[in-house]
Amino acid sequence: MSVVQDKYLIRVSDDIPSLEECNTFVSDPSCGAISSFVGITRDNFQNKKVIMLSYEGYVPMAEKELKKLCVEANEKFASIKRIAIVHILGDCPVEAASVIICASSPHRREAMHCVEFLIDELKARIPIWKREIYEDGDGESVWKENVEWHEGKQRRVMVKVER
Amino acid sequence: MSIEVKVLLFASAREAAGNISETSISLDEGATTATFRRVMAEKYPGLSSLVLDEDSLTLALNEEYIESEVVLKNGDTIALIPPISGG
Repeated sequence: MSVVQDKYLIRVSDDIPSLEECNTFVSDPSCGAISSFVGITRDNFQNKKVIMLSYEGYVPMAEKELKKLCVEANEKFASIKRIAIVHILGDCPVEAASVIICASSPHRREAMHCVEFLIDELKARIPIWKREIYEDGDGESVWKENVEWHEGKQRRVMVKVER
Repeated sequence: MSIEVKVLLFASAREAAGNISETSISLDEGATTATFRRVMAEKYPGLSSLVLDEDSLTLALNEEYIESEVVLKNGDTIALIPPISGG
Protein backbone atom coordinates (compact mmCIF):
# COMPACT_ATOMS: atom_id res chain seq x y z
CA MET A 1 0.00 0.00 0.00
CA SER A 2 1.35 3.43 -0.91
CA VAL A 3 1.22 5.33 2.34
CA VAL A 4 2.67 8.82 2.70
CA GLN A 5 3.64 9.39 6.34
CA ASP A 6 0.59 7.35 7.40
CA LYS A 7 -1.58 10.33 6.51
CA TYR A 8 -2.65 9.40 3.01
CA LEU A 9 -3.59 6.02 1.58
CA ILE A 10 -3.28 6.23 -2.20
CA ARG A 11 -3.65 3.42 -4.68
CA VAL A 12 -4.43 3.07 -8.40
CA SER A 13 -4.54 -0.65 -9.12
CA ASP A 14 -6.60 -3.64 -10.22
CA ASP A 15 -6.72 -4.60 -6.55
CA ILE A 16 -7.95 -1.82 -4.26
CA PRO A 17 -8.76 -1.80 -0.53
CA SER A 18 -12.43 -2.10 0.46
CA LEU A 19 -14.54 0.74 1.87
CA GLU A 20 -14.11 -0.84 5.29
CA GLU A 21 -10.32 -0.90 4.95
CA CYS A 22 -10.33 2.74 3.82
CA ASN A 23 -12.53 3.72 6.79
CA THR A 24 -10.21 1.86 9.15
CA PHE A 25 -7.20 3.66 7.68
CA VAL A 26 -8.67 7.16 8.25
CA SER A 27 -10.20 6.42 11.64
CA ASP A 28 -8.58 8.21 14.58
CA PRO A 29 -9.53 8.70 18.25
CA SER A 30 -9.42 12.49 17.77
CA CYS A 31 -11.89 12.42 14.90
CA GLY A 32 -15.65 12.51 15.32
CA ALA A 33 -16.34 12.26 11.60
CA ILE A 34 -15.46 10.07 8.67
CA SER A 35 -16.96 11.03 5.35
CA SER A 36 -16.79 8.65 2.43
CA PHE A 37 -17.69 8.54 -1.25
CA VAL A 38 -17.95 5.37 -3.33
CA GLY A 39 -18.28 5.59 -7.11
CA ILE A 40 -19.86 2.48 -8.60
CA THR A 41 -20.64 1.26 -12.10
CA ARG A 42 -24.18 2.15 -13.15
CA ASP A 43 -26.08 -0.15 -15.51
CA ASN A 44 -27.24 2.48 -17.99
CA PHE A 45 -26.20 5.47 -20.07
CA GLN A 46 -28.67 7.31 -22.32
CA ASN A 47 -30.99 4.31 -22.69
CA LYS A 48 -28.12 1.93 -23.36
CA LYS A 49 -27.57 -1.06 -21.11
CA VAL A 50 -24.06 -0.91 -19.64
CA ILE A 51 -22.52 -4.23 -18.64
CA MET A 52 -19.21 -2.94 -17.32
CA LEU A 53 -16.63 -0.19 -17.31
CA SER A 54 -13.01 -0.90 -18.06
CA TYR A 55 -10.37 1.43 -16.63
CA GLU A 56 -6.83 2.19 -17.72
CA GLY A 57 -4.42 4.52 -15.93
CA TYR A 58 -1.01 6.14 -16.12
CA VAL A 59 -0.24 4.67 -12.71
CA PRO A 60 2.94 6.49 -11.53
CA MET A 61 1.58 9.87 -12.64
CA ALA A 62 -1.93 9.17 -11.30
CA GLU A 63 -0.54 8.27 -7.87
CA LYS A 64 1.75 11.31 -7.91
CA GLU A 65 -1.16 13.62 -8.84
CA LEU A 66 -3.31 12.03 -6.11
CA LYS A 67 -0.59 12.78 -3.54
CA LYS A 68 -0.48 16.42 -4.68
CA LEU A 69 -4.26 16.52 -4.50
CA CYS A 70 -4.27 15.19 -0.92
CA VAL A 71 -1.73 17.84 0.12
CA GLU A 72 -3.88 20.53 -1.49
CA ALA A 73 -7.01 19.18 0.20
CA ASN A 74 -5.22 19.30 3.53
CA GLU A 75 -4.19 22.92 2.96
CA LYS A 76 -7.78 23.80 2.09
CA PHE A 77 -9.34 21.80 4.94
CA ALA A 78 -6.81 22.10 7.74
CA SER A 79 -8.48 19.86 10.31
CA ILE A 80 -8.42 16.77 8.06
CA LYS A 81 -6.57 14.00 9.85
CA ARG A 82 -6.25 11.33 7.17
CA ILE A 83 -7.35 10.64 3.60
CA ALA A 84 -7.79 7.39 1.70
CA ILE A 85 -8.24 7.72 -2.07
CA VAL A 86 -8.14 4.63 -4.26
CA HIS A 87 -9.15 3.92 -7.86
CA ILE A 88 -9.66 0.61 -9.63
CA LEU A 89 -8.02 -0.37 -12.93
CA GLY A 90 -9.29 -3.02 -15.33
CA ASP A 91 -12.84 -4.29 -15.57
CA CYS A 92 -15.42 -2.96 -13.13
CA PRO A 93 -18.84 -4.66 -13.45
CA VAL A 94 -22.18 -3.07 -12.54
CA GLU A 95 -22.48 -2.32 -8.79
CA ALA A 96 -18.73 -2.74 -8.18
CA ALA A 97 -16.73 0.16 -6.70
CA SER A 98 -14.44 2.04 -9.08
CA VAL A 99 -13.34 4.77 -6.68
CA ILE A 100 -13.37 5.05 -2.88
CA ILE A 101 -12.56 8.26 -1.00
CA CYS A 102 -12.58 8.62 2.80
CA ALA A 103 -11.54 11.58 4.96
CA SER A 104 -11.55 12.00 8.73
CA SER A 105 -11.76 15.18 10.81
CA PRO A 106 -12.72 16.18 14.36
CA HIS A 107 -16.05 17.63 13.13
CA ARG A 108 -18.23 16.65 10.19
CA ARG A 109 -18.16 19.63 7.84
CA GLU A 110 -14.50 19.58 6.87
CA ALA A 111 -14.58 15.84 6.16
CA MET A 112 -17.70 16.16 4.00
CA HIS A 113 -16.44 19.16 2.03
CA CYS A 114 -13.02 17.57 1.63
CA VAL A 115 -14.46 14.41 0.05
CA GLU A 116 -16.54 16.47 -2.39
CA PHE A 117 -13.45 18.50 -3.34
CA LEU A 118 -11.40 15.32 -3.84
CA ILE A 119 -13.83 13.56 -6.18
CA ASP A 120 -14.37 16.73 -8.26
CA GLU A 121 -10.62 17.26 -8.63
CA LEU A 122 -9.97 13.57 -9.32
CA LYS A 123 -12.33 13.78 -12.26
CA ALA A 124 -10.61 16.94 -13.50
CA ARG A 125 -6.98 15.88 -13.43
CA ILE A 126 -6.04 12.32 -12.52
CA PRO A 127 -4.86 10.46 -15.67
CA ILE A 128 -7.32 7.55 -15.67
CA TRP A 129 -9.64 6.56 -18.53
CA LYS A 130 -12.79 4.50 -18.68
CA ARG A 131 -14.35 2.62 -21.51
CA GLU A 132 -18.07 2.00 -21.24
CA ILE A 133 -19.05 -1.42 -22.58
CA TYR A 134 -22.67 -1.94 -23.70
CA GLU A 135 -24.81 -5.04 -23.87
CA ASP A 136 -26.12 -4.37 -27.38
CA GLY A 137 -24.09 -4.91 -30.51
CA ASP A 138 -20.86 -6.81 -30.80
CA GLY A 139 -19.13 -5.56 -27.69
CA GLU A 140 -19.82 -1.93 -28.59
CA SER A 141 -17.88 0.43 -26.33
CA VAL A 142 -16.94 4.09 -25.98
CA TRP A 143 -14.10 6.00 -24.27
CA LYS A 144 -15.73 8.48 -21.91
CA GLU A 145 -14.68 12.10 -21.26
CA ASN A 146 -15.22 13.91 -17.96
CA VAL A 147 -16.74 17.39 -18.25
CA GLU A 148 -14.52 18.27 -15.27
CA TRP A 149 -11.44 17.59 -17.43
CA HIS A 150 -12.46 20.20 -19.98
CA GLU A 151 -13.50 22.68 -17.28
CA GLY A 152 -10.34 22.07 -15.26
CA LYS A 153 -7.75 22.79 -17.92
CA GLN A 154 -6.28 25.78 -16.04
CA ARG A 155 -6.17 24.00 -12.69
CA ARG A 156 -4.05 21.10 -13.90
CA VAL A 157 -0.90 23.11 -14.39
CA MET A 158 -0.25 24.43 -10.90
CA VAL A 159 3.48 24.92 -11.24
CA LYS A 160 5.26 25.70 -14.46
CA VAL A 161 7.90 23.09 -15.29
CA GLU A 162 11.36 24.67 -15.16
CA ARG A 163 13.48 23.47 -18.07
CA MET B 1 22.77 15.62 -32.95
CA SER B 2 19.52 13.97 -32.09
CA ILE B 3 17.70 13.12 -28.90
CA GLU B 4 15.67 10.09 -27.97
CA VAL B 5 12.40 10.41 -26.03
CA LYS B 6 10.20 7.71 -24.57
CA VAL B 7 6.53 7.93 -25.56
CA LEU B 8 3.58 6.52 -23.61
CA LEU B 9 0.13 6.27 -25.20
CA PHE B 10 -3.14 5.77 -23.36
CA ALA B 11 -6.78 4.97 -24.12
CA SER B 12 -8.02 6.47 -27.41
CA ALA B 13 -4.52 7.70 -28.33
CA ARG B 14 -3.10 4.20 -27.89
CA GLU B 15 -5.81 2.73 -30.09
CA ALA B 16 -5.47 5.42 -32.76
CA ALA B 17 -1.77 4.60 -33.07
CA GLY B 18 -2.55 0.92 -33.71
CA ASN B 19 -2.65 -0.23 -30.11
CA ILE B 20 0.89 0.88 -29.29
CA SER B 21 1.23 1.71 -25.61
CA GLU B 22 4.95 2.50 -25.53
CA THR B 23 7.57 3.49 -28.08
CA SER B 24 10.54 5.79 -28.45
CA ILE B 25 11.32 8.32 -31.14
CA SER B 26 14.33 10.30 -32.25
CA LEU B 27 14.04 14.05 -32.64
CA ASP B 28 16.50 16.74 -33.66
CA GLU B 29 18.18 18.48 -30.78
CA GLY B 30 16.16 21.55 -29.82
CA ALA B 31 12.90 19.86 -30.78
CA THR B 32 9.87 21.14 -28.89
CA THR B 33 6.59 19.54 -27.90
CA ALA B 34 5.12 21.06 -31.09
CA THR B 35 7.80 19.27 -33.16
CA PHE B 36 7.00 16.11 -31.25
CA ARG B 37 3.30 16.37 -32.15
CA ARG B 38 4.17 16.77 -35.87
CA VAL B 39 6.60 13.85 -35.87
CA MET B 40 4.07 11.59 -34.13
CA ALA B 41 1.38 12.61 -36.65
CA GLU B 42 3.67 11.63 -39.54
CA LYS B 43 4.74 8.37 -37.96
CA TYR B 44 1.20 7.31 -36.97
CA PRO B 45 -1.31 8.60 -39.54
CA GLY B 46 -4.24 7.18 -37.53
CA LEU B 47 -3.19 9.37 -34.62
CA SER B 48 -2.57 12.56 -36.59
CA SER B 49 -5.88 14.38 -36.07
CA LEU B 50 -5.81 13.66 -32.33
CA VAL B 51 -2.13 14.40 -31.69
CA LEU B 52 -2.26 17.70 -33.60
CA ASP B 53 -5.34 18.89 -31.69
CA GLU B 54 -4.06 20.63 -28.56
CA ASP B 55 -7.56 20.99 -27.14
CA SER B 56 -8.22 17.25 -27.29
CA LEU B 57 -4.82 15.86 -26.48
CA THR B 58 -2.74 17.08 -23.56
CA LEU B 59 0.88 16.07 -23.03
CA ALA B 60 2.59 15.09 -19.81
CA LEU B 61 6.35 15.51 -19.62
CA ASN B 62 8.08 13.31 -17.04
CA GLU B 63 4.76 12.80 -15.23
CA GLU B 64 3.73 16.48 -15.14
CA TYR B 65 1.06 18.11 -17.29
CA ILE B 66 2.33 20.72 -19.73
CA GLU B 67 0.15 23.14 -21.66
CA SER B 68 2.69 25.37 -23.41
CA GLU B 69 5.48 24.56 -25.83
CA VAL B 70 8.57 23.12 -24.14
CA VAL B 71 12.02 22.14 -25.48
CA LEU B 72 12.60 18.41 -25.07
CA LYS B 73 15.71 16.76 -23.69
CA ASN B 74 17.30 13.40 -24.33
CA GLY B 75 15.72 10.76 -22.08
CA ASP B 76 12.46 12.64 -21.48
CA THR B 77 9.26 10.66 -21.16
CA ILE B 78 6.23 12.13 -22.92
CA ALA B 79 2.75 10.75 -22.33
CA LEU B 80 -0.16 11.36 -24.68
CA ILE B 81 -3.15 12.20 -22.51
CA PRO B 82 -6.53 12.17 -24.26
CA PRO B 83 -9.49 13.57 -22.25
CA ILE B 84 -9.59 11.67 -18.96
CA SER B 85 -12.58 9.85 -17.50
CA GLY B 86 -11.68 8.53 -14.07
CA GLY B 87 -14.17 8.27 -11.26
